[in-house]
Amino acid sequence: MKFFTIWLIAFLSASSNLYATEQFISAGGNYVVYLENDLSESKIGHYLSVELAVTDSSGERLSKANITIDGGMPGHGHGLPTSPIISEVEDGIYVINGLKFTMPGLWQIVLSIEKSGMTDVTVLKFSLQ
Amino acid sequence: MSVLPLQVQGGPNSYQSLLGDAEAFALWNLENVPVDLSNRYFNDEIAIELGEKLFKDKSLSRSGEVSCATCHMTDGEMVPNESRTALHDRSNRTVMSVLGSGHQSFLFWDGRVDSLWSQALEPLENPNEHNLTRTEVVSYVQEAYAAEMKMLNIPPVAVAKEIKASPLGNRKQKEMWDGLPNAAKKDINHSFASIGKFIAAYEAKLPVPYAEWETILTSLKKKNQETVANLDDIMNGFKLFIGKARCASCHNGPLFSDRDFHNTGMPGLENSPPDLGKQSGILKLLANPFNCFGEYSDTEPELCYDLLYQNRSIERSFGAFRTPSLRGVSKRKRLGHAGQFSSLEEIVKHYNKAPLGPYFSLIGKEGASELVPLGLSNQEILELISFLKTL
Repeated sequence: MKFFTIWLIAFLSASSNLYATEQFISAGGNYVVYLENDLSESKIGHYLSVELAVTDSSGERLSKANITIDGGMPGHGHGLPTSPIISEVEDGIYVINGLKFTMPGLWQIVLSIEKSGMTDVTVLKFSLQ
Repeated sequence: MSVLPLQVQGGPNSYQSLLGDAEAFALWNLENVPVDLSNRYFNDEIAIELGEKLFKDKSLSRSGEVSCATCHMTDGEMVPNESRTALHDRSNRTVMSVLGSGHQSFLFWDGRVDSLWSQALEPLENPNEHNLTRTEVVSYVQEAYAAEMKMLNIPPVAVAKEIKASPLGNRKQKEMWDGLPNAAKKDINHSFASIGKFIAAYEAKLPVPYAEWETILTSLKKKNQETVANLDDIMNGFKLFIGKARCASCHNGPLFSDRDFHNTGMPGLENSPPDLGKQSGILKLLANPFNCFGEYSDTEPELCYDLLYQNRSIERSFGAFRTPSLRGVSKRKRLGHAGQFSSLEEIVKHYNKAPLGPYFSLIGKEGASELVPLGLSNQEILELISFLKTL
């Protein structure tokens, strides 16, 4: 966690390359989600926690945002098997606890991010083997 | 199963490409049963031994004729037994398999309990099953198994054998329970919970035996020329299972269950009230004093991941029932949570047709079944069933 924060600060200040993490821009371009975990390597049937950093479009950390999580397997017509809980652990850094994926295939996590009346949606798509 | 030298079309060499997919469904890839932190006796050898005795003890019932094994074992095997007399109304639920139950997060068809030990408690007080009250369960076990209870450091509870008291009993039994001092209720509940924990410790360790499926996979891996006569049907059936028939969407892994709950449009029983499945299950689970958050659980609430993160969507849980394991499915006489189907052919045809399912008009929706029509031919249905029979 501390390493991720230090890394993120370094990244945001140096605007260095992105290969160490993935970034997901929200549908309306208002927010950016940075993910350190590679979700496609998630172990099926096990609980996992995911750390993410959220900024606005100018790169400023987005703290105290209201973020809700939805998602599921679009190809199978069912949603997420659990109700994960998201909490902010540091300014602009959030942790999602209680994610669990029950089978291989195409999954998506839909993050609805709201701050100061502006809501936008980021979809994380990944495939599990 | 008959074993013949291979003469059929196809042969073990032509199914090598399926082996990669098939490995995900092999019992040798089943993970160890996760430790249930809420059960302090989970790995206790004495508790496991006592659990087995209790599981098979018919005196743990009002009639003296019902043990856990009465419904969960057939001819010495852990196969659900539906042969109980018609006096006991089991019409709305089929017996679930104990094998592999330690891998499930929530038990019963509607997921209304979150541990194997809290599941074991309910049949004991169910008037359709063991038909006892918890004071009777506690006073019987602490007398009949006094030595084991002493070794496990469970102090005897001061409750007379004649007392029939339970918060879940009939009116008189509830009144008796209400009349007990709070301290006595807690002592009885602690002892009652422990009894469930012993049974659960035994059940969780039961191995899931290899089936014909594992034998076939082993033969294919060795490119053995000797195999079953209907190998083509079985492997075509497996291809359908992971492909066109969409079974593996939910029935995945070595136990053929994703340990989740889904609405599959199962028909309701005639003249029965709506069966809401997981939706009513969630409410019962949260109210259950024997859940992971409760004082009889041996772990901290922060570690109760299944309960903390369980899906709370009302819509998702409406009419959803658990994905049962398909291991041993061909040995079961009643299929579906209420025994709606009597054969594999009937239930596969249900999935093929994909009806909308009942009750959704109650909430102004047409349906919520996750099924889609499959378009399987009769031959494909036969092949799918050939595969299912190997589990």
